[in-house]
Amino acid sequence: MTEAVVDELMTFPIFRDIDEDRFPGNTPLRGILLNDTRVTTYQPGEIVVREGDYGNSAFLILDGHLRVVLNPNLPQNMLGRLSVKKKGFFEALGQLWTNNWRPEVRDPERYQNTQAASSSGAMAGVYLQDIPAILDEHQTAQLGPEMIFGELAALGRVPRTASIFAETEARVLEIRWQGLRELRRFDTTWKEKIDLAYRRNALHNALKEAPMFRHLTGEQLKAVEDATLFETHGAFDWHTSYKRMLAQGREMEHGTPIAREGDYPDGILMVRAGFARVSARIGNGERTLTYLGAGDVYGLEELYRAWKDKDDSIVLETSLTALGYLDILRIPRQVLEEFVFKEMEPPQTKLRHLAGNEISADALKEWAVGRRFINGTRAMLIDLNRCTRCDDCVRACAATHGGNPRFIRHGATFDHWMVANACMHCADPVCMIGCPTGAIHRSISDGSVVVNDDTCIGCGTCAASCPYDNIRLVQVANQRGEPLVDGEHKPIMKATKCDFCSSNPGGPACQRACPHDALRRVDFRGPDPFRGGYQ
Amino acid sequence: MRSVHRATVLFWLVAVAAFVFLIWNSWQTWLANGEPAIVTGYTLAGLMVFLFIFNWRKKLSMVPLGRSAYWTMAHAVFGTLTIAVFFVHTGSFWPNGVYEQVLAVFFYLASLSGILGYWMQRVIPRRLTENGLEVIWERIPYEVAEIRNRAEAIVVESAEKTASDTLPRFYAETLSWYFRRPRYLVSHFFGFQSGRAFIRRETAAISRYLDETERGYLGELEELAHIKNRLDFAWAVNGAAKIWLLFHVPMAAGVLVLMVWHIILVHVYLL
Repeated sequence: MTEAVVDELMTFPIFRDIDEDRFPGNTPLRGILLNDTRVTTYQPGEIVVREGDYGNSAFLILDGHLRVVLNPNLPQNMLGRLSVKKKGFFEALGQLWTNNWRPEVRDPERYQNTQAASSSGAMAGVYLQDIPAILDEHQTAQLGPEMIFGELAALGRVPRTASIFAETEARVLEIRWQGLRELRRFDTTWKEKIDLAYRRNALHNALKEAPMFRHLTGEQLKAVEDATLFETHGAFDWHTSYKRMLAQGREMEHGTPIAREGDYPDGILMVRAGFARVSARIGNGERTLTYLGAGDVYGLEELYRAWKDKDDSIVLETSLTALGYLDILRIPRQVLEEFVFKEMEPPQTKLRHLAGNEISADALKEWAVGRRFINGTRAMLIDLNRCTRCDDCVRACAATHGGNPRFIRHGATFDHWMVANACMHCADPVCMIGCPTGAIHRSISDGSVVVNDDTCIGCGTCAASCPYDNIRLVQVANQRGEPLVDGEHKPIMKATKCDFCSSNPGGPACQRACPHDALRRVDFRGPDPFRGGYQ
Repeated sequence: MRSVHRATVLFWLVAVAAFVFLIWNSWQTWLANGEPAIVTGYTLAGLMVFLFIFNWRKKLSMVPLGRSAYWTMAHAVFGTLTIAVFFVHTGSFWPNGVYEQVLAVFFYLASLSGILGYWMQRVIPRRLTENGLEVIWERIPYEVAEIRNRAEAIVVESAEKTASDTLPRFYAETLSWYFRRPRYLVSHFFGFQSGRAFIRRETAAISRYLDETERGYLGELEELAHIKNRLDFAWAVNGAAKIWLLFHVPMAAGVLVLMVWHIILVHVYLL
């Protein structure tokens, strides 16, 4: 972004009408536009955002028209996605002799091509070929100048909900989430605009997907939407404070309180993104009963009971706190009683009953919550009472990744469990925030978080963001072991991490290679990660 | 029940059934005036090859050849079957010919080291966990060096602050030996507490000659010595778990080579 483009942006009403004096001296409006935005011109048919992608930016249309595909979604191949090609048996076996004995060897040709592409400033866009046919076969809506979109994914760190492509040549301003956050913070018009769009879209999508609202008619759902409040708790970049907290040895601290045991339940809380901890008072502390993730509901049992028994003295039996960043929907009691409770089955779970377990039985859960391992969907959990520390898992990983393992068999331990320093493929992958080239992304085929080695520029943003220190920067070398250097003779670095063996047949090699059944890849959101494994 | 446990039960059923069939077949062959050693010998050879393949499986971790945990249990179960078949094949504990005796020695050493390895794999993980200090084995020398540096810094500081040479002398005469490298490895392996006893004995011996300030420094040294003791434990026990394979695999390879020559000799001179 140049000063000239910023000058031009300042002529648009949406920026011209902003009171620049409201912005602090260290975060001026022009500074935000200069550092956190860029203008991209899209050709007709070019895809701007793809449904399912994780994005960190919102978009403002400057001129031209875009189309959002509403229903049905575009096929994956039309979106230009390439699923990771699985190696065949013999191709995988071939690694025995194709692996270089030197670690992190790369073909220099790959990076030359990348440099050429980036130096020309050209991005390899994905184009839809037959726009009239798409318009015929898919329900779409037109987006015009001064419209904002993509704020859902940017602020909620959730996947894009729809694909959008250019209908005509269009200039679009891409605003990184950091910039969007600052605009929202210091300008009321932007705040209202973003919140309105964010709230409307988020609510609609979230409510539409919740089973308890499926029986509602369009009008009833609209009434629920209108009454629902949208709340955000905790810090968006929670990983920075979490790392600071760990460094200071304060790992057992739990985040921002949202609802307290004994309070009057004025509505249910539905988690839209992030994690929350459900706890109950015990002695002078709080005992973790369970944790909630996207789609989970809090307070339903008490509210339903109060409605069924017509008893207004019923209070919340547990407390709820945000673990890091948390988006919730607060759906008021009145609309639930009017539209929802009459048609629904009584809720089955009773969170408070979990408090009947032995105190020591919950120690592992407390640890997993305290260390935020609950974010992991494929964490490497090692039973140290079985593990002979033979490192067969490490060797297997190295054998499937060009001779260098993608994890360290070391990590946080509790009792006889260890969560090793291997990428957990988080539900909230904060490593993806701020990657300047989008090299770190979710794999289309299996949802694992992977790094595109060709587009990674080794800036280390992902490694610095990862709250669990599971990403490492390595210096790459050519076939002769000589370090590869860039135009300024600086060594080329690449981010490396566990890719869950997405290109290898048979699943993660580490788990397969463990001779003692001690290592498992587990989903901490599952029923009991210390019993089951990743299937 | 874990899937590996289910598989182990299945392996045992197969092994027992195979052994019963082998005995029955040998008996029938003997009744028919045949040579049962041919069947038992080739069964033994097949089992040995299968057992040795486990080592290759570990090197082929990039291809889906079944989970290593299944292979480990199959290795243990069919390893036991192999010992039983060996006795059926030889008909005695100690064969007659010199060559066969060498083969038997290798077989016994491979079997005994296998049994020892199995026992260690069952016992060592829990012992390491209960040690309470999780450290990568290869890093232990670095950790020991780090502790030694810290200990020496404490001694230097104590000399500077107290102007007394008692603690430095004690370090030079006694503790420097202890901090130099891992100590009491055999004791650690067998679960004795020689390292802890050494620390207790030596710190008690020097304590009476120190003033309060020096005792503070001695306390810091003692704390480091206890950490070092736990590192020594990990070095000894984890090391044993790694080293036994360096004995077991060559013995097994030796059995395989001697077995091939044994089969050739049998075919040339006896059949």
